[in-house]
Amino acid sequence: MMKSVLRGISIAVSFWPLAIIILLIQLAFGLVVGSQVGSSLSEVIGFSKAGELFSQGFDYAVYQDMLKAFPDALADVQRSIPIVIIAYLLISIFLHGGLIRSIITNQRSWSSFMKNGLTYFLPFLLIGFTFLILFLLLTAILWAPVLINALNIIESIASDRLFFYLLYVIGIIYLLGLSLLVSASVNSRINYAVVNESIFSSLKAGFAWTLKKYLPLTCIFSGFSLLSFLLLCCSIKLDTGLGLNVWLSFLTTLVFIIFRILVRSSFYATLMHYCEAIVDEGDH
Amino acid sequence: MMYINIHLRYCFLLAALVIGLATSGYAQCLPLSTAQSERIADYQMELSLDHDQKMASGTALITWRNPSPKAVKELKMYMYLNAFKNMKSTWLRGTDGEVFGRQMSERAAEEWGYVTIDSISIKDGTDLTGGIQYVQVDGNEDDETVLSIPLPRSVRGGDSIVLSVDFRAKLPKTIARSGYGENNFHLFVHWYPKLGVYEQDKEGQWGWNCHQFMQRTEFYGDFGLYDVSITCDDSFTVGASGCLVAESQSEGRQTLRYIAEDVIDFAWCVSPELEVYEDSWQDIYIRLLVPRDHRGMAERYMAATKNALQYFNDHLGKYPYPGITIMDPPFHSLRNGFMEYPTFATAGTVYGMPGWFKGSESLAIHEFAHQFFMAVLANNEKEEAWLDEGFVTYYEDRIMEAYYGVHSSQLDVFGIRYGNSALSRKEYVSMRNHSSTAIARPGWEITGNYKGIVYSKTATMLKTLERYISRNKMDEMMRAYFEQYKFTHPRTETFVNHLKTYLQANYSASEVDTYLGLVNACLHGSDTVDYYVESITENSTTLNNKGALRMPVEIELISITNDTIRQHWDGSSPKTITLKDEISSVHIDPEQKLYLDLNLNNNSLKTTQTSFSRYILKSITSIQHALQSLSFLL
Repeated sequence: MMKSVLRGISIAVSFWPLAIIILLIQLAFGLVVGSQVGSSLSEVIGFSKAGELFSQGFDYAVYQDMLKAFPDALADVQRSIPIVIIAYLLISIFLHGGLIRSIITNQRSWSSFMKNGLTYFLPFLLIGFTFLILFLLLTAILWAPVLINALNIIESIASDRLFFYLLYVIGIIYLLGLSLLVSASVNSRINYAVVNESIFSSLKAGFAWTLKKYLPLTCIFSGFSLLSFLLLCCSIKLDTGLGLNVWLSFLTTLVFIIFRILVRSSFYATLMHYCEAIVDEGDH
Repeated sequence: MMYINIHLRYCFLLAALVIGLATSGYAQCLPLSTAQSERIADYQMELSLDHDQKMASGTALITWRNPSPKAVKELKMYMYLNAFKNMKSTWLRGTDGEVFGRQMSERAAEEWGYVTIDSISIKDGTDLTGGIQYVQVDGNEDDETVLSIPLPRSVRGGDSIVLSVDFRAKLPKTIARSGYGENNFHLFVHWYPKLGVYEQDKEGQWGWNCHQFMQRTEFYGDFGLYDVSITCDDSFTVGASGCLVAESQSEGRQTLRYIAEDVIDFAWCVSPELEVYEDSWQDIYIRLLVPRDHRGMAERYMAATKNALQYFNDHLGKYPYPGITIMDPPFHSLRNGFMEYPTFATAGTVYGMPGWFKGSESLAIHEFAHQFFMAVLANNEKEEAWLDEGFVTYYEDRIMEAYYGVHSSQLDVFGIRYGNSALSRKEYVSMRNHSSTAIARPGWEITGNYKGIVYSKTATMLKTLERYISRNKMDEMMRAYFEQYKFTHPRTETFVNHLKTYLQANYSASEVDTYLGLVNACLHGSDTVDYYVESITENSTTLNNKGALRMPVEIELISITNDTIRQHWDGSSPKTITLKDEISSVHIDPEQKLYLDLNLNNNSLKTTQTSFSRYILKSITSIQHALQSLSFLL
């Protein structure tokens, strides 16, 4: 497993230009929201001294007065965020297609990345959609009973520590389920990109691979997820705790985002390498 | 005569206690033994708790002195636990049957509570039981929260009467405040037959002020001495108003005796899962009762209580009682939390409360502050709740900001932060409708956002007054108010007259009119103020007010040559100011003295636009981080 992880990281790093492409695409989506935020603020408090105060740092009173006087001030931003997320997720599927197939075939050119992305977009979209439904089902099955009965649980359980432990246990089960789904999702796509059979057989193979090596795959998922989360925390801490200049803070955050993209690419590459080994084992 | 006997017994007890303390050092809370109030109603109670039945039963010896010159032929008592007897009480009718997400009609018979008198007699043996009846002074003939006790002979002005009352108080499974929870947690508040207040109304007529228990109304009681003995299982931790002066154990039961002096009420709790933390601030004994799961909060609660004691000592007056007990209910009984009782307050938190959120400290300080506004300055919380809740919120905000940061006293995480005053102001200014926000009204007359009006508008009004007259003057005025009216029942007029006298002694007639006008407008009216800069046209600017409330403010004008000009504006609108030079920016009330202004953002206008690059860049990177996290799962 460690061999696959190291190999995965090495492959991801060697494909660094792809990380830059992903960053630029994300940046474009970020710009859509950022420019809306900027124009909304400029429009409603841009000519006020309160706006000056707010531009220097978050001020609760200014923010509340703004929303009170202009309840729709951030409506455009709120409307565009779901659209941005959906659009990005669709593009992300395209990027996955390009990334996974390019890594498998060791193609590093921009044209082959684009070609692969287009070729695998539709099947990967269907695979992604299937896992999205499974993800929603898992969420509902685990969390809905807790939410519906929260008041009863709180008032009948002797200790709130127990209540929080219950949440932790459900959280851990949820993460294990999530690990299964994410690994199976990536493995299904890898299978599809490698063997090019039907989507259904790829989903089957993806789950079969994942279940066969669930523990190491969960370790791989947990490790990369944790690393990505730690990078996120460090980024926020640096942004809010060090009092960096606005632009310096922005550039530092971009560096962290690139690292997080590389972590995600490493996860895919590791799974590809690890699953190739599984395929090999099966073939023998 | 009987009245004197009770006090003699009490003096002997205290003498014994002092001697005992000197040798054993057992208790740190020592009754003061000197009367600080005019004690009208004294209660000597002996109670036994049956925790299986959730019931305390016993005898109360109630001594009441007629404070009026008029003979009294009838007594009135609060029987507030009957608010939780059935769905017909005024309290529950006011809820549409749902309290904190729970349908009350679904509860089992044993989950309801009540207080009932088995027998009542005058100390000479005259039985009054047959004559007592529930009365409905505020309507709703099904309500049983006020009891009338006709007397066979009048109590003359200045005379006393001693009643012997056998009663049972059965706790409900907590609906709000009073009740029981899991694992034998019991909180007895609003629980015993308690006398109303015999006083003069606004027209000078003597009579009983004894309202039904309503959802938004709380206390009104006379000062007195409470001598209460509680017998319960000896595995339980007990907390109560006053000081523990004696305890004994026998056959698995413990009897604890508490003395609470010069208080208007008595509350107590029992639970096997509360841990005790003790400390002191100067000579004030602090007792924290915290469930095991909330151990991590004990230090924070203790610090918050000490901070509050110190702050009040420095800015208002000395805490006049020998001790304070703060009880944090277990999570399952959170409905029992967030309330104030004399020398006993309930807080509330959850396991693992993060340090960046100070809500629990803020609430503990709020409930502690009620010791000054409610317990000592014992206003009628039913008719004029602003006199305690409003002042308490004002001081809560000040204390929190003094010790935990002006802009971060409530929350400080990931660059998002806010302080108490901003939150109080927001609760008032963000109300959807300001057309009925007069503060000084009985609780049952206030519809809509009760907290926004009684708590937040009052606190914001006081903050505005403070900013106009300065904090030092505000403290001086409030210290004098506290000193003069402690252990009395101040009314709205009491405070307003005190303020007027203070202002007249320190300010010009026009300033007195302005400041007093502001307070009266907020107390009795719904006018708002929202100053705004309408326009800047080269060298002139127009100022206006969207509301009808007017206060004088400073105007800061900056010209394109960067000269700063200050002008005074009396608030009459619209107002046009013309300068020689072109105007670059205008700012009404730059120091934000007028904190009541509904929108501070439109108080200024400038000709150049601010860049929000901070938020643009933050939005870009935040979205990227979010997309990255999401796509990791895809």
